[in-house]
Amino acid sequence: MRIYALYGFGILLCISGVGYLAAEYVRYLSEVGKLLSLVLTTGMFAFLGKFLEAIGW
Amino acid sequence: MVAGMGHTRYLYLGLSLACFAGILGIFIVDGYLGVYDILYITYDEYEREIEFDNQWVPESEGAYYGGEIAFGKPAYFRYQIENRTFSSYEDRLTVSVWEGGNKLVDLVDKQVKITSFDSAVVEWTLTSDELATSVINEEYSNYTIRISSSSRERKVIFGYRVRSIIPPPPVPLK
Repeated sequence: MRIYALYGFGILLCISGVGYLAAEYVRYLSEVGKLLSLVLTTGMFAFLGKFLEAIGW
Repeated sequence: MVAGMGHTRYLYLGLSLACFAGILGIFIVDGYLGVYDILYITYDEYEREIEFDNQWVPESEGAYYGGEIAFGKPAYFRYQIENRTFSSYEDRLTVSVWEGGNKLVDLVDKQVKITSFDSAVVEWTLTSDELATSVINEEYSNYTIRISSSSRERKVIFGYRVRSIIPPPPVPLK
């Protein structure tokens, strides 16, 4: 149970970190940068979902 | 079989973290690093900030709106350049006022050198005397301030109002 709490804490840190960077610097991103960020964000959550599924969530 | 499943789930975790690291890298390299400039215009006790590379600041054909200045009052300009790169930035900066494709006056012509991850500020003042020959017969005119260096040119359009709006005469009470 404790390990799940750590996973949850890590996930929250990831999301808040990306949220902070997005709030501060997304206005300076180029069009290519925005597209790559979108693709990587989709990939990040997809792989995270697969990981959580694999560990039995 | 169990070992394979374990590898798979850590592969997913690794890929997820790799995507996260990629996003961080894009925000830092594409969003943060670079040379950025901001213009502050102060007139009538009011300061307007124009962040040039900010995509949320409205612009038209590369020109930004600087506001409306009343004739006779000075406008103070503060141009800040931030060098967020690992090398020093050096360039010649010129600032001039234009109207209808004609240059009216040069305001700044200086060499700017900024060390890595540092910033510099260039200030100038625009008074109505410098525009008097052009604006004297008009109530309202638009002018363009061009901030030029070898790598970029910024255009800020502002209006100069000669006369204040005269309120209508009071209606006598019956």
